[in-house]
Amino acid sequence: MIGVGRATELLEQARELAKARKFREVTDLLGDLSLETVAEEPELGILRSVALSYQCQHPNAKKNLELIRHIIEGSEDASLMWRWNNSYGVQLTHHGLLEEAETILLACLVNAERTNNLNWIWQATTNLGVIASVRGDVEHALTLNGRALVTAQRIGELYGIGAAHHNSGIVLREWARYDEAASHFAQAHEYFSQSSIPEEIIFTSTERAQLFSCLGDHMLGEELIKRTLSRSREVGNQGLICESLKIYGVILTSVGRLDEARGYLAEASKLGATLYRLLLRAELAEAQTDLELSCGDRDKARGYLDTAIAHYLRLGATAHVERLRYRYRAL
Amino acid sequence: MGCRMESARITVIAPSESFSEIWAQLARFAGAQIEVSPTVGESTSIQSTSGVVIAAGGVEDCSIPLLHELKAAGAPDPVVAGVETNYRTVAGLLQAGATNYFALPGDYMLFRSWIVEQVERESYRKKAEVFTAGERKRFDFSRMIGRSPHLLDSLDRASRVIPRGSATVLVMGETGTGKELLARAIHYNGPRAGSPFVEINCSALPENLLEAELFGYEPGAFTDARVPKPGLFEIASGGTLFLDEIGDLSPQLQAKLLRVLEQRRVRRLGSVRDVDVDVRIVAATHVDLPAAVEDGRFRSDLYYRINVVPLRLPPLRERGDDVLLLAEYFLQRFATEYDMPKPRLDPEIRRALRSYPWPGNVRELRNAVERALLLGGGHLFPGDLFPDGAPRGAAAGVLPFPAPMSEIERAAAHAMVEHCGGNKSQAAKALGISRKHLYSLLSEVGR
Repeated sequence: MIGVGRATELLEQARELAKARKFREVTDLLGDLSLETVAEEPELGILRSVALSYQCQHPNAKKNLELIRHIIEGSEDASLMWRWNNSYGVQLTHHGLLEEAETILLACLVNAERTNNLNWIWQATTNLGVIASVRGDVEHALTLNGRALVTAQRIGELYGIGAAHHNSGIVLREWARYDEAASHFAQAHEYFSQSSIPEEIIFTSTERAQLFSCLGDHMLGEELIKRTLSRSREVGNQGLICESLKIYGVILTSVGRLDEARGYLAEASKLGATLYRLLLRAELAEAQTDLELSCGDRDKARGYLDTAIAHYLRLGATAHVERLRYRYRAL
Repeated sequence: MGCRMESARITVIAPSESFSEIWAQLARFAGAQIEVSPTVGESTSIQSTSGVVIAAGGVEDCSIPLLHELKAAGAPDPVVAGVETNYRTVAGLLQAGATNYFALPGDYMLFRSWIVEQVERESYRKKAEVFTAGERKRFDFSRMIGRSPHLLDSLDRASRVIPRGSATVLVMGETGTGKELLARAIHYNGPRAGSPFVEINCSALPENLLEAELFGYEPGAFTDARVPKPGLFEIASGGTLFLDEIGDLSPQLQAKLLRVLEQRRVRRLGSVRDVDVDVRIVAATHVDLPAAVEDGRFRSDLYYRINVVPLRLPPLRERGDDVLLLAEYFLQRFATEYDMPKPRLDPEIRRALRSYPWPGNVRELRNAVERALLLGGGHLFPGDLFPDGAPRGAAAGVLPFPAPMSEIERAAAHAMVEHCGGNKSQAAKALGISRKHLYSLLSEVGR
């Protein structure tokens, strides 16, 4: 007789929550998960890591994956092993170990293609696209995002379609291809709206606000980011609040309202220090470099620039380091 | 897309009572319906099932005739769940057509995982159907906004192309006129709707990368080619490949594309084997292709090959009052999105909308309406439609004089991109610099 234990019941609950993208609840549910329970239902360990990752707790997510590795391997379940590898690849990316992450995720992609698992192909391709973006390899990121987009369409994954456009928009905006970025963000917004995930819609709105400002329309950028910040606070997502504060600060710096900008960036920095998002921290330091330069304080600007470079280096984002060194070569 | 989908179905053929206690708990865990029948003939789900299990439970030998029977009935490839661990018996089952064998109770977790995977695959198949239906509705010709004769003529011609699933279509029009939207409408309203719609912007990638994307490659074809990769022609198989900005293709890629269109076969980079491809090509460009052919920038044979069904999308300035219809549509949409009352288009706004030439076409109008609505807080003021009449482009502004060379270069880069309607390749070419150099100039911040 094969019975249903407490671990299985826990797994059923956690799967339902994860399906509804309620990751904070997943973390609460699996907060005191023991290795014995994971041994009974190894998927619990993976779900816990995924949930931690969504809350920017990347060191915990990575550590958790490392702890359960032997259990997952012992299960001989190819599906769990694939998910473990994919999740671990994501965590390595967040820790700036791009070479290792790429090797693992490429293996995931090959495996997914061999078994013709479109869901896996979509996930691995999206994650490889993120690595290319972090590296600043725009064209490579665009091709990977394009492929992730096609695969997401083939499985009707609206969130995936939106994410592919969103990721393309970000990398294009970062490298000043604004018109192309605008087109991708418009589509990301469209598909995220259809998939009804408020966080994702807000995330794209923050990016659009920054884009409008890059295009010289600071007034529209400010109006949009004001709304976005308010929505971020409503949904209570710390990462989004921090992102919105940062962009608000960037826009205000652009229009010379430096004291207000300083307030928003200080709040963002305080919040950012509680989140393990190196990219966000790097961008924050970059924004503060701009602010201090605008205030005429070159020493402070130099300090923030060094911080931004250090964060980008930790992420393995060497193209961004080059960009900063070129952009602020006068400092 | 809030429609509730029916759960996936797993069919179990169980000649004995074996494992009868596990089906309910497996069904609950995987969120599936599990139908258990003693024989293949008594199963009602064999044609529509997501997965078939033979529950052999101690009578593994009886499974071989069942495997043959299932194959004859056109069932999906089955797996066998049993208790036998003798490798010869298992090998016999696999030889007879079983795709996997689970020895219970030891393999219970793996068996459960297999069921979950079948359910997930079914769920994605259904989601894809819902997505396609949604896109068909979204891109339906009757929902396209506009009454101008030029537009209606193009839409009429496009709708007549649809049943001819293989006819190549060439969509011409300025930036922002809706070429991609038309390409999607052709795909999702036609016989290829259930297959992929694959798009690529030919001006967004350097030549070597674009070639690898379109045709795919084998390991070792070039330094970074570590694993085999199908090209977009292969990925789009059965569906539509949308080649945006085809006018920007290099001469070498024009020749390769011509070969594919003529032979309907592609060869991956580094491969010695051709692969048949069945795709509809929809090409689009803002370039005047006949003039490009005249100048020798575009191959005439490729032009004639893609110009089978030419469609021209008129610029917004030639569409008369369509600008008002579109503005109404965007107003409604953004008012809903930003939770604001939809304001009226008063005469002053109407005049402003009609008199502006809209060089960025529908895309520019969309942005203008969103801007005016957001800044007006639910009211529309003509002055909010455009950002201070300022030119588009990052850090654009009046160039100080005297100015350092770097400032002049940066301003020239922005001005040329603006002049070329945002087309960076064209701008780089016109400035006589590489795209990379152009991007570095554009990303610089003025001091």
